[in-house]
Amino acid sequence: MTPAHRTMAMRHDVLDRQVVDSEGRPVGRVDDVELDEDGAAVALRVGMAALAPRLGGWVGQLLGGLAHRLAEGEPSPAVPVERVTKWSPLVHLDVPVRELDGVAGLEGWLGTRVVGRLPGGGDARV
Amino acid sequence: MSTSKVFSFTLGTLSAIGGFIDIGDLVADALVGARFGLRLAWVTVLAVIGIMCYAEMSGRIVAVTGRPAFDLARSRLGPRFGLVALVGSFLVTGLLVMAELSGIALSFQLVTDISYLFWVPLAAVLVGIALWALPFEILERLYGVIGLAMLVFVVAVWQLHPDWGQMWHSATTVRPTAGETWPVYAFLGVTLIGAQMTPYEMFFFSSGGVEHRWGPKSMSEMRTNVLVGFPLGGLLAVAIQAVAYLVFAPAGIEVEHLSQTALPVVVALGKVGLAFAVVGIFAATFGATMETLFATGYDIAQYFGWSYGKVQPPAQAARFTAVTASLLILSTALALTTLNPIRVTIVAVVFSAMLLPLGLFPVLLVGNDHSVMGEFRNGRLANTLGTATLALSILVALVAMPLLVWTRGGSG
Repeated sequence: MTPAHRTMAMRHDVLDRQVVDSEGRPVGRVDDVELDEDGAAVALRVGMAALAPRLGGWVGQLLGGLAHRLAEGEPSPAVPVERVTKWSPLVHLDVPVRELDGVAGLEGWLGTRVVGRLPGGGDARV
Repeated sequence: MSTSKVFSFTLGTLSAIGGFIDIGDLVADALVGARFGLRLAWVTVLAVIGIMCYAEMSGRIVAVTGRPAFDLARSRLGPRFGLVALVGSFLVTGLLVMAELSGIALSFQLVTDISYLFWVPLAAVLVGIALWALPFEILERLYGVIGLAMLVFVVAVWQLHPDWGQMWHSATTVRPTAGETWPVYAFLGVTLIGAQMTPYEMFFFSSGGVEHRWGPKSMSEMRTNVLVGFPLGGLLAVAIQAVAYLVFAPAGIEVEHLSQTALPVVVALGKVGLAFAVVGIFAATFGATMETLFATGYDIAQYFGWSYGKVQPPAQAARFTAVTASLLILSTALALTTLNPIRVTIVAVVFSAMLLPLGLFPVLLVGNDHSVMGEFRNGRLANTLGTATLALSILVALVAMPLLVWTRGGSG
């Protein structure tokens, strides 16, 4: 896809799509798309902090505040569009989620600090 | 036939016993049977057709896209509408988890004669351990198979030697019994729809398909599950209505306690009947606790795009695991407040009926989407039944709340 095609129309189209990493693991949703001055997509934003303003109202404020707290003030993580290998029906990335700094941070934290520490937390149930 | 073939229908049986027949059904069917006999059995027939249509549709979406129907719902409904549907179904399913836990506890009460409240925490611990330790397939087979003990309700109908002509007359009469009013009749009809066509059955069925890694080749397996599971659920529901009709109606008994739901089986089949009923109720409510918990977890995870499910280690679906665990703890606390599980169940299924269109509509949209479904998009049958069911669900959603207030929850 050439940059000229990455227009506002595409922004509308990919919003809310499921994002999966190079291992097929769910990363999150396209909660927002960052555009440059020409309207070309630069990065995808994933996470509650990016979603909250789109919800608006007190619900948006509540979720935004919560996300801000959990992220300890860090800006909401962005995935550069260069990482995207396929846009439809799901957005596929060419990196595993653990290499995306700050994306799905709560997942990682709960996974290593809480759930992973329970007996059998890291084992598949087959 | 290999074991996997033999057991390939267990997702369907679990959907029937635990999805279709859960605490909501045990309560609603017993209530309805005691007051209206089989005069609302036609509602169950409609509910079975409706849920089959939508379960097939959501199963087909999974087989084609590899993603459950609700995964695609947020892109269709948008984040705001999607959030309304999410919060609504979270509240309803949360209430149901509490009621299902009380149901498990009830099966212990029936054996020990000690109040179900004492057993609620133990039930929650059992659920927690089972969900944590056992793989999805084992859980599904276990509860799908031992839940077949519920068929004792069907046996009980025969054992009570009913006047079949009178049963048929009751089943074909569409009006309230003498001394009952139309609003109460309509309200209990709404309750049946809410208890039998629950969105969580679709969430669970389609997400279960994802855990089974259904593909286009699984289409016939999926349809077998639909064709076996939901009619079986419907049969059991009508049987529960019938035994309540045969035992409670002549004596003028109203169903006010959970423990009464097993009484007709005891009258018909004695201790052996009770044993089967206890095992069946245990399996149905245990299965339903698992379904409602998972459905809520799936629902939230899919809205936010988190990883979810049981095929991977819990640490790799940590937020999903955390959400389901928190909900289990909250529901246990709610059950211990001594709120009457029958009242809670009725309120939950009425709210569920009100939210039903929000659960069905996105499935119908995606099922019809040529760009997603290609050659597997809805045919004429799926669309006709799907649209009729959606129309019915909108009607039910509109009258549910007024009827709840008007009839004071069916007591007026």
